[in-house]
This record gives sequence, C-alpha cells and structure tokens, in this order.
Amino acid sequence: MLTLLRTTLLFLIMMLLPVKDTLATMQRPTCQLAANSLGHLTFTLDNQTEQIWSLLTWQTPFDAWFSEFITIRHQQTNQKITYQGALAKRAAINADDYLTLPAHSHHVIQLDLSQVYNLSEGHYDVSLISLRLLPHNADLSQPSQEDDFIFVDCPSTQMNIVK
Amino acid sequence: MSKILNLSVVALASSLMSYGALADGIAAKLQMSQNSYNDAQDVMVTVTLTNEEHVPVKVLKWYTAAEGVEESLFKVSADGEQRKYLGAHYKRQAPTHKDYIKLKAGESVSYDVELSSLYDMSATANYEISYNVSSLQLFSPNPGQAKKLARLGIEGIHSDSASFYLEGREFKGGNNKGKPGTGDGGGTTPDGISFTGRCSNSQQSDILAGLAAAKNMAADANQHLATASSSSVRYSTWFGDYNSSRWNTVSTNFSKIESALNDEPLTFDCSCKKQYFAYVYPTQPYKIYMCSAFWSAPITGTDSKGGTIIHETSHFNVVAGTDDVVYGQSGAQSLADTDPAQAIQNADSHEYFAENTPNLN
Ligand SMILES: [Zn+2]
Repeated sequence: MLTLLRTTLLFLIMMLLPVKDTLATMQRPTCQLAANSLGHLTFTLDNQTEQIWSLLTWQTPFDAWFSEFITIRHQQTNQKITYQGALAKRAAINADDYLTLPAHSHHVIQLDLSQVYNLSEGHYDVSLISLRLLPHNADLSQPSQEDDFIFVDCPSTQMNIVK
Repeated sequence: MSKILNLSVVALASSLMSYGALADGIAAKLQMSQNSYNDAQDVMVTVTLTNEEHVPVKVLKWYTAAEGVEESLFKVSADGEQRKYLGAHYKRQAPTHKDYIKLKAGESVSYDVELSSLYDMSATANYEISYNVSSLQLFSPNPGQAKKLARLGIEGIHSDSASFYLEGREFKGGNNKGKPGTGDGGGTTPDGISFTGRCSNSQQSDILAGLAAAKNMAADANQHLATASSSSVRYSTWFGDYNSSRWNTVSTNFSKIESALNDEPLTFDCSCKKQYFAYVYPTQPYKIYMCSAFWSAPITGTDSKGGTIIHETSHFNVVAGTDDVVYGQSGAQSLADTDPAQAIQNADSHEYFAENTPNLN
C-alpha cells in the first residue's frame, strides 16, 4: 500500500514537472506600442517576471536610428513607408549591446517617427520586429546565435497622423 | 587620439626636436620620429609641456591634448601657406577648477597627436608646425595669477617650429582645398572619391585599399553569376535553392553594386567612433560612414574592408536596397536554407557571397 502510494506520488510529480517548466518559459517580459497623432511612438517594455532578462538592443527602439526595426504601412494602400535612418553593419555582439531588465522593471522610450519617416496625414499600422532576449543565466560575454534568443513580439499598433 | 607617454620611451634625433620657452611659464616642445611622410602615413607629433616656474602652474586642459584635441593647438603651414584647422571647436561654459591640470615645478607632461586628420595635409609640400595656443584663461582659475601673468606678457604657450616633408594625396580641384561645401576637410581624389569627417592619411589609404578589394569582389561575383551553373554551391550557400528569378535579382544587384563602385561619386566619412564597421543612409547614396571596427578589419575575406563596402553599397535604395535581415555568417547561412526570398534582400548575404570565404564554386 505504502509502495503503491509512493509510486503514485512519484508519477504525479513527474507529470507536474513538464507543466511547471512550460509555465516558467511562458513568463517572459512583454512589450507594448502606442502612437499619437504627431507621430510619437511610445515603446513600453515590462519585466513582470521574478528574473533578470537581457535585451539585445540591436534593432530595437534603443537603437534609433541605426537599424530598421519598425515597419509602417499606410492602411489604405498597404504601402510601406520608406525608412530614412541609417543601417549599421556591426561587429560581434558583446556585453555592452544588452540592456539589463531587472525583475519587476519597466522601461519606456519615446521615439519621434517623423525624424526618419515621411508621414503625411492618414491612418497607419506600426509594427516592430521581434525583440531578442536572453534569460538571467545566459553568458553575455559569449557570442550568441539566433537560436539562443527567446523572441518576444510586440503587438502592432495603429497611428492616425493629423497635420 | 592622444595619450600620456612615458618620456623615457621617446628617444629621438635632436635635429628633429624644437624647443621653445618663455621667460617664465610653460615651455612646449614638439618631437617627431621622422622628417618625411607618404600619403598613407599618419603624422604623429609628441607635445611635451614643461612647467619652468618655481611654483605649480595650472593649465586649462582644453588647450592641451589631455583629452584629445578639442581646439586648434597648432600653427601649420605648407610651403609657407597656412593650413586651416579642421578639428573640433567645443562650445563651452566658463572653465572651472576641474578643467585645469596642475603641473608641479619642473614637471612635464606629454601627449601624442595625429595631425593629418586635423589639418589639411593633402598637398605635397614642406610643412612647418608649431604649438601655438593663447587664452586669457589658459593658466589659472585664479584671477590674481591671471593678472600677474598678463602683466608679464605671458598669455600663451608657443613652441619652436618643427618641419617635415609630406608626399600628399593631391586631391583634384586646385590648391587642395577639398570639396567645396563639406566644411570638414578632406577632398576628392582624381578618381572622384571624396573624404569627409577628417579622415587621416592612413584612414584614407585603408579606405582606398578596401574600395579596390570591393571592386574586385564585385567583378568576381558578377563573373560567377554570369558563368556558373544553377547548382553553384557558392550561390546556394548564401542565397538558397536555385530559382531563376531570384538568381536574376542577385545578378542585377551585383551589377548595380559594381557600377556604383566604379562609376558613382563615392564619399567616405571618418567621423564615426562607434563600434560598428560602417553605416549608410539607404536614401542618401553614395556616402558611407566608416566606424571603428572597419579600421581593424582585413582587406579581403570574412567581414573585411572590401566586404563591408559591398555590404554598405548594397543598402542604397538606388543600388539594391538591401536590409539587415540577419547579421553574421551563420545567420546568413540559415536564412538561405529557410527563406531564400529574404536572403536575396539581406546585405550580409551579398557581402559573404562576394567575399567568398571559405572559397566555394
Ligand atoms: Zn547593413
């Protein structure tokens, strides 16, 4: 009887382990976009997890304007608006290229899209390419491969430019 | 740009040394390790400031090279004609105590300064340089001492001149004044290559070597695309499975890259200090901004000077309008495997195909 109970318990624990793992990986930072009628884009990054994360700042709002990390499309024509900022060729990723996101931290950055996009009056869809994050235990001094990253997508937002 | 040197390291021929001293104050001495330079060589000068007073003197850092050259510190002439300073002028607040460095009685301090990026040295000429700064605020944040120095007529630091011969790059356009309107020095070579953002002699020569390599790479890429079979491993490694329309796009991209490199008025800027190789504004052909990783890159091979110029040229919307979809060789290879349509839009994929390292057929 006791043996049976023990075996059952063990079985239950084994069943629970993968579930617990899945829950852990589901907890990751989240982000949000909001744009106003002047073409100011607010990017909010929230780390509501219990762990530190590292954000690769390449091709994120922290890299303005040395890469094209935003796509803006005119809603009616679906026409992509030309990016007029710079594109940089980079050396290998190093520790300085990461932004540390402490547990329960909140980061906000505002960009003036009119600096690098010619925006006339109208409705636009604004989206961001996926953020690349590394969990707390990653070794930032080692070069990271695409496979090492955990990707986080920001939901796209709408923008109504009024002149 | 400049650093404090251990004086014992600087052993130089006395004929190349010049020495200037005021009755009382700071003496400046210039030392150069050679008296003749070619157009690929940087012109290094060591400035030594010595306090000849019996008491400590404070000197305004801005007028030394303590934190890089932030003001015109030299008088430079080429065959007797004065050369304009091209470097930074900082707009500043009034100096405070922390802007001064203190030299004890008899103490010396030395800095290394590279001059070809700070003064127009494109002309072949005999150059004469001297350290020449003056400012009412030069010596002390203490008004009493400033008045005393003014009364003694000590208002600056001046060295004797040092001279050297320089075989310049001889930009076209007469009198080596540089391309009109750039305002930051440089000039245009007879091949129509312009430099802006204070490129030193060695930087100009690195860029020209990288450009020559890029032209070879572009020609080789076009040759391969014109003659190789559709089973080319070189093609499939960087651009994925064969498909005639994608192959044609890549061919068009490389023929535009090659003609841009050979026929368009390229401008290279050296002012970027970031850890990038280079950057461009795709909407602003044909200007490429070279950054710090470029200078240490090899001429050819993976992530080389030549390849960087291919990469950047491919970004211009009037050339191939490529994007940075992924960075690096392994990223570009997996992009070719998983998404050939994106690979033919990716700047690094073009660069690695052109660099062809390792060599593939
Ligand atoms: Zn690029």
